[in-house]
Amino acid sequence: MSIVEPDFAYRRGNVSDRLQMWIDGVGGYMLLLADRINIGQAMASAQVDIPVMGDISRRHAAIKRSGDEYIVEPLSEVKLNDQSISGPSLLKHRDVMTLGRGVKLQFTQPHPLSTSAVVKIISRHRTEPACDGVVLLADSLLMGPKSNNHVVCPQWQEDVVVYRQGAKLLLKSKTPLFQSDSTQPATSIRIGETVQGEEVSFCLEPLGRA
Amino acid sequence: MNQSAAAITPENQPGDDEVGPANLAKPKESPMRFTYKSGSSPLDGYTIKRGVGAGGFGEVYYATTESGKEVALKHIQRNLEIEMRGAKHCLNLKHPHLVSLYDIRYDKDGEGWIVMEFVHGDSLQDIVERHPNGMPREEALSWFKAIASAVNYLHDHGIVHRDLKPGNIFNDQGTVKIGDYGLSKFISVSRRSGQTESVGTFHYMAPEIGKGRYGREIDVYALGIILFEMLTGRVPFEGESSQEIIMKHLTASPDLGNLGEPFRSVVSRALEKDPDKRTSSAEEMLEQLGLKENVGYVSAIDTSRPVSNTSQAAVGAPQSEVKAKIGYVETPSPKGTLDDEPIAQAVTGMADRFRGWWNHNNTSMPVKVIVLAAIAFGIVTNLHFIVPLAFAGGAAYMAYLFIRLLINTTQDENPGGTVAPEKKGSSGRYHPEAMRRKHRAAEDAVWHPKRKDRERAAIAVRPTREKIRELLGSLIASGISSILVSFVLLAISVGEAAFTKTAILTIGPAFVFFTGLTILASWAVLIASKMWEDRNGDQARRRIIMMMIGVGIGAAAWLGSMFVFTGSPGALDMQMPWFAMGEQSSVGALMLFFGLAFLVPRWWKLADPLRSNWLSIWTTGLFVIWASILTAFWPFLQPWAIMLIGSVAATVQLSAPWLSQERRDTERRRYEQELKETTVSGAP
Repeated sequence: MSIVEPDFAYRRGNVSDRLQMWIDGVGGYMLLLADRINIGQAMASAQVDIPVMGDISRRHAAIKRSGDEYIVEPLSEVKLNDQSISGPSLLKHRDVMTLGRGVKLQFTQPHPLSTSAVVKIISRHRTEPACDGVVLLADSLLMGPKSNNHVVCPQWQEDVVVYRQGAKLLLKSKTPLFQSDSTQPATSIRIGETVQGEEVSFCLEPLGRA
Repeated sequence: MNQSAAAITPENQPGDDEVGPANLAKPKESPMRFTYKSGSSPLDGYTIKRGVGAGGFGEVYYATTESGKEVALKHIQRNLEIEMRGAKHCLNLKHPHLVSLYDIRYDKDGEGWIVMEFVHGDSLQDIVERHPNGMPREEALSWFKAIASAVNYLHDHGIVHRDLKPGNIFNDQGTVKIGDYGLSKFISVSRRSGQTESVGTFHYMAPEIGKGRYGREIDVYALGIILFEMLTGRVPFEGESSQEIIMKHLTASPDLGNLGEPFRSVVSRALEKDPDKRTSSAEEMLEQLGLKENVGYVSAIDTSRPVSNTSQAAVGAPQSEVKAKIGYVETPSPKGTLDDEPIAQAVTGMADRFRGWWNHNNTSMPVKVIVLAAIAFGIVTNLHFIVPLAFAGGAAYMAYLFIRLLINTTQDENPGGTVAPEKKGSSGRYHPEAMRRKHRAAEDAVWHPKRKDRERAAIAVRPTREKIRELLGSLIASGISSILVSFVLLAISVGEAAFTKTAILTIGPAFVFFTGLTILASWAVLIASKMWEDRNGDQARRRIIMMMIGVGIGAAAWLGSMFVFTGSPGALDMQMPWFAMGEQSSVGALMLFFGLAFLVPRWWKLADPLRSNWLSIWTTGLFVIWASILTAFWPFLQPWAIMLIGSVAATVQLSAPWLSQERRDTERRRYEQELKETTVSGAP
């Protein structure tokens, strides 16, 4: 299977499949919507979904979503929980992947009712641009104060759910959320406009491949 | 996948499958609202990505330049002038553990922005929360070393951080970074910023901040709190409201029982209430922990500070390094009676130090021999007085031990007797039983300082000038009231004969003597208790001091009696002497009597402005009873000495200031109100 089609279409409808989510008071998260993403070195010419500033190959590994499960495909030297792997391997909650000489990524699937997963760098490396975590968005993204949310927002009182429907990202929350100057509570998210609520404030920004 | 995402709504959240730090109860802060939205660019060249946080000064944003440099932008919304001056002062400071400031900029509207290094990663607060029972000591030490060296660097450059707290300290990919320095005289809580701050801000505030004192000692205090928090997972002074926490900073002594040495003494010295007694610098704290700031630096920094390195490091460092290593294990200290006793501790401590010097110092052999010979010669030639001296000393020490035992057994019910250890050896180690009892009492009382303690704190904050004025007033009052009391006693004991002419000759000198002694004694009590009225102190220490005062009064009484009674022996033989002192009177007996009379009852309680009654007949009676018990041993003192003690007790009560319940309430309320508003007090 080829890694990335040369004419990879990263825009489907009105949703880019690579987004940066900026959440006030919480952090910046990368949202990846594709079913297959690849991890590689952050370089100007690289067409990678998770560009890491680290001593790794330009295409080092890929993560594929298949149904409710995630599979890591090593394209270079990859260890899974300190065991070298040579072929596709199933990822479980809290597995740690080590790429090359020590870029460590932790895979979590924190919420039992959501297929979405979160990948975080736990070694002292960073993505380019920097982010606090990468969400592999399958069906839904949960944000809220509890630790079983994909994005933990400690100071929020209520949870906010973002979920995919077709090409759109929809919103659900107990308290009304608004976008731009509309007085009607927002139900879907427009990219590039801040979503604002009583305690919630975040914005999605499309990410190109540098 | 069939699972409908829509089924997951905030309403039917499945239960938590794990307990993370986010689940722990956190003080909920008010929702974050940021002025600038993602994508906006108030400052030319920087695009805001998201809001990071807000402090007393304004908002902080994460932003990038066009070329992708990540920065933090601090929008100064309050006290622009002062903040900008402070930031400008720090603009070129360089330290690996300080968040760098890049620039100061003004936007189109003239609003100030500070451009600074953006720090990724967790704050120390997050990490402390992840270790509810304290982090591993090595980790805590490596954090502390970085923090203290950065603080020391700031102090070296004449800057007081003023807002050290775990929320301002970060782990940026393995490097400790301290932020928010040089910002503000308005410590992040001010009246103007209202209730936006959580209670947590007060946990690191030194007691003298309320008085407007912002020396670098407040940073040392905060370092002490942070060290304690890293090691135990909690702050030493907790409370539900800011006033409660501030009250504890002012009055409570921290429970350092769980810290092993050297941490216990380091923290206790850093948390000293009095900034002048506190460890004076961050560097000193590092030395106490056996750490050095300048590891990792080349020599330029070392040579810039030769004074402290030669004098202290040479003696202190090797010892404290060892201590730091063995400090990881809490060594169970032997709990003999002698070990709690300050004098014995001091002596053994001295012996240890001497032995250390003797064995480790490169003293040459001939010198040692000469010293030994000199000592031996000195002992042999002076044997005639050394032996009796040793006996006397031993007897005195035994007596002291006995009294101490008595006092200690009665002392445990001392309410709220919170004593900050003065010196390492002199107090603080209690008998395990007492310790446990005290501990329990302290735990029962948690989070609710007694009203009396609050009242005491309220009177403690009055300015010194007022206290001196009050003291002078009561000294004058005591002069008048002693004359009155003595006269009443004279009238009662002598009757109408006191009003005859001859009485001036017969009774006059004795009356003057009696009155003079009363004034002297009550002044001594008033002055001593004035110094103690601010806090609950160590009773044993106070008693010993009172005893010394008593001994002094005894000596004065003897001197006085020489003048009054032996000068005119004829007067003594007249038919109606008020009282007389016969030949049995000796200076020793007088000193012993007064010493004991002042040692046992708590005289300072009589002058306490918070005593329950202005003049308590019952308490005065107790003092009289004690005096009469004593005079049973020295009958020649009867009855005048009993009357004297009674009159001193009454005089002290009459003349010492006393606050009625209403006044106490108003003082306390005014004080608590001030506490709420206190934090802007240092402002110009």
